[in-house]
Amino acid sequence: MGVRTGGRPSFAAIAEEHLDAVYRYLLLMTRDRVVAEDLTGDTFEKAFRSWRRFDPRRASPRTWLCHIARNAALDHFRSEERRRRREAIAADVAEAEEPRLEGLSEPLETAIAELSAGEREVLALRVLLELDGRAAARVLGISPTACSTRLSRALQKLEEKVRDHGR
Amino acid sequence: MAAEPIDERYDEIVRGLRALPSAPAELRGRVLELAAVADTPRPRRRGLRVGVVFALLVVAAVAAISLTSGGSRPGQKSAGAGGAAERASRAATPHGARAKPAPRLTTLRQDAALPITPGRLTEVHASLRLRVRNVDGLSKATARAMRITRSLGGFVQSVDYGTPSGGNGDAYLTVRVPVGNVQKAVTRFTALGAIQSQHLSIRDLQNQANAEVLRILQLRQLAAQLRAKLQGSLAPEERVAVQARLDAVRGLLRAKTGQHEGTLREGRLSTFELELTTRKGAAAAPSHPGRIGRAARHAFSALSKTIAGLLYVLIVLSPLLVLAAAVLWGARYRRRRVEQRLLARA
Repeated sequence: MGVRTGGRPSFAAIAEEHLDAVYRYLLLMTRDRVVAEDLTGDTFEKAFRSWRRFDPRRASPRTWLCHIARNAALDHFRSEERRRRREAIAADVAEAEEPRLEGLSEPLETAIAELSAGEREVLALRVLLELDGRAAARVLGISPTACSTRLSRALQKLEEKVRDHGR
Repeated sequence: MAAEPIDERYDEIVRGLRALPSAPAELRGRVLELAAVADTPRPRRRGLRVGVVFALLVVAAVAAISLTSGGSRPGQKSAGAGGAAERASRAATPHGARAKPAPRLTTLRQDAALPITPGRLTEVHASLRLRVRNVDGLSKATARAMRITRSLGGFVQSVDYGTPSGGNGDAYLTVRVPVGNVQKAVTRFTALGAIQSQHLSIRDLQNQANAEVLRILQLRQLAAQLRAKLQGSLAPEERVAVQARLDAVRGLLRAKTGQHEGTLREGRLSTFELELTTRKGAAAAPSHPGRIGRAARHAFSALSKTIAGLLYVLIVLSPLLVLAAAVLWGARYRRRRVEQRLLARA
């Protein structure tokens, strides 16, 4: 699995090492296990197709996979938004039941549901994937300072909401 | 990747978030199956690389050829090239007589063989600027130049000698020397003083002379035919027309004969313009730079042309590049804003 080809890690080694991180990132972003699984599969398929172009000197494998996963998530959000818009125009459709995130406490899960995807994303990158500020900022396309600010606000907001729901 | 610590106040939340489940086994199996395929060695696409290498070789070869062909020596080598052009032109024209080769320019050197073919009419025009030590030397050198000219079977066409002021003086001589003695003349004239500038122009006149002879023969033949016609019985109007034509042909024949005599004269006698001076001037450049010098000159020329081309392209394209950069930056900024809004809504 961990065979190196041409002086860089094999795709299998990278997939093995970063699969959980990518899945959890997408799970926190979408808050839907099924969607996260689909998007994770899509992410690795896209990564497989562009594997030959991947240059380890330009970005770490985790950052590279995050970029791909982020684009997959953005595509998903766009199509979801279009779908919701169509449905809102066509008929009054009952709101779908909110999916549950396994492994999280109820107050934390409720609080996370109240955060925006952007806020969840910065938490996923910095807390779950443990990217440093510079790498996370690169994935988000913002400056490291803005990334740090966004993380602080997201954590503060999440803590306040957890506290509110825990009472 | 060194993880940066998250503020300790949020430890509980961080722990809670990190409790999110890992990827399910089914997903893991699917991804690893895909990964196994990715790491199967595939035949490398050598065609593209071979193509690129081939293209680079072709470009290098073309550059080398253009540099070396442009680096022919103006003296002996250009004489060879001139010979080839002459042969080609002779083959392309009837009687090998129509082509009029351009004069070949060269510089003089005492020991260098001049590209003059013995037995062929050749127009040679040389100019030399020579520095002599003082006015006394100027006088002696002028007298000697005239003696050399006569000894070589030539004549002095004009002399202008003067020592106007300040111990300086100049002498301008135009002398004609038989083409067969040009080599000797060069050797002996250049010994009169230090060469300050030099120039030699050589043009083959043999083909031109051949063409003139041919034309003269044709005109003579035509004149004979017209004379024979006039001796026969002709209507008065026709006689007048034939006579007029004969007169025109005779006039043309005279002109052509005169031109041919001039060509023969030019082809037999070379012209030397000698400027003897006591004044200091710029020393003459070395007449024949070596191979390294030529290569360096051509390399510098190619480099300067390339830089000029790049500068031109840069100046022309810079406004477009700035515009393109602004458009790209704007598009990127817009995309980020759209993404942020989308994530804020999701």
